[in-house]
Order: sequence, then C-alpha cells, then structure tokens
Amino acid sequence: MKKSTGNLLKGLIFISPWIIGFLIFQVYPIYKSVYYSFCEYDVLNPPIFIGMDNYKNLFHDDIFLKSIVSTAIYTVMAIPLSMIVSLFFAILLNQKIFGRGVFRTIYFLPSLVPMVALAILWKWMFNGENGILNYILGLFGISGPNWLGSTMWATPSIVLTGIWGVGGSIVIYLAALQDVPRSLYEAAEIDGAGWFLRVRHITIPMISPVIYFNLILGIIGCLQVFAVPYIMTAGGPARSTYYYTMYLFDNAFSFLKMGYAGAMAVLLFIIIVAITIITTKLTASRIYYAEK
Amino acid sequence: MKHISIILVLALSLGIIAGCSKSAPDSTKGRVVVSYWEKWSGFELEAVKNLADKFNNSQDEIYVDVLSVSEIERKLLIAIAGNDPPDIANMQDSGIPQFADKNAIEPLDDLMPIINVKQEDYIDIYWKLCRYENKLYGLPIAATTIALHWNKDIFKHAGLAPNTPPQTLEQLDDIAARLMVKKDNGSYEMLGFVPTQPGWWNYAWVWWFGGDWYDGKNITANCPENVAAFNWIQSYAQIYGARALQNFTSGFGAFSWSDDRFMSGKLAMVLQGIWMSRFIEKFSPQLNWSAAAFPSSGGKLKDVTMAECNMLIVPKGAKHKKEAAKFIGFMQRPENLEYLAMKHNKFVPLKIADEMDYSQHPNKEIKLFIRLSQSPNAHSVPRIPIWQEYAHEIDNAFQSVWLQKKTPQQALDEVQKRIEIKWQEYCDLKQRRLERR
Repeated sequence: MKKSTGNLLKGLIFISPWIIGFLIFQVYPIYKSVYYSFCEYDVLNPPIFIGMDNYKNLFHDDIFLKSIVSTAIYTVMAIPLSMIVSLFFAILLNQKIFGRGVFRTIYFLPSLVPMVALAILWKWMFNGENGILNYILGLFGISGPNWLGSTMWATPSIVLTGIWGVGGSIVIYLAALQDVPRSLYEAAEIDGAGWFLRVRHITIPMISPVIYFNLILGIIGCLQVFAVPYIMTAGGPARSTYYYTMYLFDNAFSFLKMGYAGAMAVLLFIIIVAITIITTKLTASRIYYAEK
Repeated sequence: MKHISIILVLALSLGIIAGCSKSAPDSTKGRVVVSYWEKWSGFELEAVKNLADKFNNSQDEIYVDVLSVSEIERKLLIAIAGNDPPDIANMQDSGIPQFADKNAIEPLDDLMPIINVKQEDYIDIYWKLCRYENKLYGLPIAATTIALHWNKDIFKHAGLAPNTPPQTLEQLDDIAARLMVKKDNGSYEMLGFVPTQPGWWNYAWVWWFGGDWYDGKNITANCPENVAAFNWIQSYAQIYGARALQNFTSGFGAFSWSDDRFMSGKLAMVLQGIWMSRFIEKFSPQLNWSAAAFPSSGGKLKDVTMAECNMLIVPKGAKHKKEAAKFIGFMQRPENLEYLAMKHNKFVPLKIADEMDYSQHPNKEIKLFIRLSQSPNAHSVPRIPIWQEYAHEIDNAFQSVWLQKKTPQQALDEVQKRIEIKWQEYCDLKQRRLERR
C-alpha cells in the first residue's frame, strides 16, 4: 500500500462519522422528501405515486397562499429591522469606551437563550394584562394592545422577539469592523468628515461583504421561522402568524400528509434559492471586496 | 501502529451505535418485557405505575415497563412507522379514527378471549369511543365529562341564590352581565362568564345549540345550529368588547393553571372537566364552588356534555400482543379501574359507576359527571380521520368570529367549503387504497 493511499484511507475513516451522518441524516432524508413530494404518503402506509398533484393542489390551497403572504410580511418587517439594529449596536460596541467587553457580553447574552425559553419569556412580556410591556406603556398613559391576541400586533411582536437574538450577527459585524483600516478614518477625519459621513462612506462599504452575508442568512432564517411563533401564538389569532414552516409542520405531523409537506419543503427550497440568487444579483455592484 | 488507530476509530464508532441498544433491568430476567408508553405525568402517572407494580408482582411471566412519554401521538406515529413501537400505549379517544384509518393500531377483537371483558358492562359512549368502523381498538381506563362550574361566593355577593345555577343559556348570559365588574380604565376586574375560557373546546359550544360538525355522512359545519352557537360566541365579544375581553383572557395562548381566572375568583362561571376539583384543591382550596350541567340554549336540551376517555391500545407491529392483552385485561378489572378513578378524581367507564360508593371520592360532584356521561346528549368529537384538520379550521373560524373579522355565517361557510374538499379528498384516497388491496 502506498503511503498516500494509506493516509487517504485513514483520513476518510477519521471523518467517516461525519460522512456517514451526513449521508444518513441529510442526503437520504432530502432525497426521500423530494420523492415523497410526488406521492400521497401518510407515513404509516406505503406511498402512492401521484405525480405533480401535490404541487398543483398547493396553488389551490388558500391557507398555503396565505401562509406565504404572512411569511413575506414577517420577512419584510424583520430583515431591515434586525440588520439596522445589529449594525447599529456593532458600531456602538466598536467604540473605545470603558467596559466595552462587558457591554459586548451583555448584548450577546440573549442569543444564548434557547428559542423556546425566549418565546415563553416574551410571551409573558407581551401579555395584554400583566405583561411588563403594557405596564411600561401604562406609565405613559398608553393602554397597550393585547400584543399576541390581535391580528394587527401579533406579527410585529414576533419580529420584536426576533430582534432579541441579534447577538450573533453583532459579533460577525464586530469582527468585520475591526478589519476596516484605521488609516481610512484618519484620512476622512482630516478631510473633515463627521461620524455619520465616516460610517456612510467608509464603514458600510468596507464591511459590505459581511452585510451581504448577514442579509442572506437573515432571509433564509426568516423564511424558515418556526419555534418562536409556534410557541407564542401557535399561528393565531385567525392565522395571522401562521407561517410557511408551521403549515408545513402541521401537514406533516398533525394531518399526516407527508407528501404534501414534502412538496411544500421542496418549494420552500426553490423559493430560498431564487431569492438568494436575486439578492446576489441586485447587490453585486454594491459589494466591495478588497483586492487580494 | 497505523492499524491500531484505524481499529480504534472503528471500535469507537461501533461503540456509539451499540450504546443505543436496549438493556432490561435485572428484575425482568426470564420474563417477557411489555413496554407501555404512558401520556400522563405526575400523580396520574404514579397511579398507573402502582397498578403496573401490582401486576408485575402478581405473576412472574410478564413484566410491564411503564415509560412516561410527552406528545405521545406524534412519537407513536414515528415508532409505528419505524416498526419499533411499544406494546401498549395510552391514547386519547380523538386519536383513534386517524390511527385506525391508517392501520396503525391493532384491533383488539381477536384478543378479546384474553382481555375478557363484556360490552354490556361499559357505559355506552365510552365503548363507542373505543370503536372505529366496527372494530374495537382500545379499552378505556379513564372517563371524563365536562360541566358548568360556578363560584358560589360570587353569586351570594351579587345577591343571587348561591345554590341555583342558570337553567338556560339565556339565564347564564343574564347572570354573567350582572356579575361583570369593570375597572376605571375600561378593562375588567371580574367577569361572569366568557366562552374563550379555558379555550380548549372551541368546537364544543355547538352541542348546546343542538348542532354538530358531522352527521355520520356529511360535513355540517355551517348548519343553522352551529351558526347560532357562533352568533352567541360573537355576542360576548360584541357586548363586552373583544379587546377588553382579550386582555382579560390573555389572548389565545396556551392555558396555564396558575393563571386560571376561575380559581383566582375573577371568573364566576366556567365550563370545565371532572379533573377541575383536583386543581382547585391544589391551587385554591378555599374556593366555594359547585357544578351542574352546562345549560343549553332555551334550556331545551338536558344534560349536554362532552365525553372523553383515555384508552389502552396496542400499536401495529407490537412484539408482545398477547402479553399486552393480558395487562389490558388486568387494568380493566373493576377494582383496578376504581383505584385509577379515585387517584385521578374521575369515574370508572363501567355501568357500575352508578352504584359505587363515593363517600371517599375526592370530587364532591362526582355523581353529576357520571350522570352526564349516560345522557343521550353526551357528545364526542366527530369520529373521522380528518378531525385534526377540521378542528384546526374551527379554531381559526372561532378566532375570526371572536375578533369580529368575520360574521359567524361567513366563517362557518368557509370551514364548510374547505373541509368538504378535504373530506372528498380523503374519501377518494380511501377508495384508491381499497382498490389497491
């Protein structure tokens, strides 16, 4: 046995737990869900092949169409807000101030809270009668809505809850911000640029690849939002927070329509790929990659 | 050296897989281990475990291993599909049509000689709930009904006769209006009644109007009685203001016992189940309450209720069917059902429930709940496999009506339209399956 082949074999064996896991738990389920999307399949009985019927039915399913609209509304609200908030805090946390490390930790901490705990916590804060949010509003003489019980406020409430978990993207922004050369700021300062102009013309262009990265990840995350609304509102009231993945989940595990759910999953994948490509095309001219 | 490291890696990965295999406790040596998935936890689980111990000690051939499993129906589904189910599971009656239709549970008819029980001994509705399309799929271990619970102190305080519950739904509405106390800021300090509490049975209200969701053949979501019921529901939102009421009942989130308005004395009347007394005892022992049949519209229908039961089933693919049947038979013995009923504050699903001695029973209204279970107006959810979807749709209609986004007629017409399509799809699929066989 030649040494290089031996090394290759050893290497493969060492990474085999990962490869086997990937094949069994990722590739095989993906293949199966694509296959089942062409079947009538209830998990307990053998699948019956029905061709494109599941896909055709999706477009006559008004709950499905409504779930797309709600998910789109959620995404359009959540993405800009979370991007602005995380970038804003990243810039603040990048200033040379006393106790910077402590502040960075504080802003990152909420993203360590598990989704379920976070959802339950916020559910109490949004409580119409005893919630702290309405208590604080009450101090200013405002009678707050029943956040999660109103079709108008339920989605904004869930968006707000999501903002709490921006710690992850703050860290990514912070890393990027530290790579921006000081000399550029100094040059701009000499030219008389103020804080806002420096952010606008140096910081943002310099970290644009990271903004793009966070945008793409944010879109993917929003289109798949599940745990928080599932716990906070269970899709209600009157399906105002019944997002795509929740309907998918119900079809798969409550109604046992695994084939239909598979078709939804495949379609969601196509939607995400399409949006990612479009976003990449639209932002291509605005992203600056430093020369290597 | 090279080979040793390869062997080590292989051994490690195999070890991980081997670690997943099952191992039985020592006390089960030489016995058939019957695995039993139980949906209950806490004191309810404790009572079941005591009975399993009694069974295990009574013989030395079978050992029943009780495991408490949350979200049991979802996990059962996966276990059955993966062909590694438990031998016995506790399932809610409403799950039977869906599982039976998908051929996921074993009919017990062939095992009846081992289980050794007679249909005549059971209260009709519970026996019916165990059956689907002429086959028996389970046997009940806990029976429940629901009734109006009212707070006698609040009645007395408002000058109402504390021992006289409303006899008609209209009387209930009047009393509710009298008991309502508004705060300065427009929200409610106290309410007489509100149909969103506890919020578990949005579909149930139609029964008090003589309506139902399925007539044995067709979907009847928008029948006039159902529309009348939803009109009544909406009238609460209109009279009291949906927004203020919503704040009072904290939206449509999950129910929590610690936040229960009836027990904290802020809600005078509520539709609750036989288990309520147990929670009152625990969270609010000083509450001066009583229970009666929830009144129907115009008082025309007597003793309307919803009957539910938990039953032991044998999942498809169970390895030890006969042994499971033996344990089910043991659990069905009157003395064991009675033990469970006493511990759970419920009653036995047997006709002898009438004659039993309840002087020691922890629920002082136990006789009412037994009477309700034998009423001709005792209902259950429709026995159709698409009920999960149907209930989902009804909840949505309920919320739209409550928030006054739609009229009851509109909302129920939509339910009718959607579920009729699903029902047709289901019937077609069933036909296709029959043709394949």
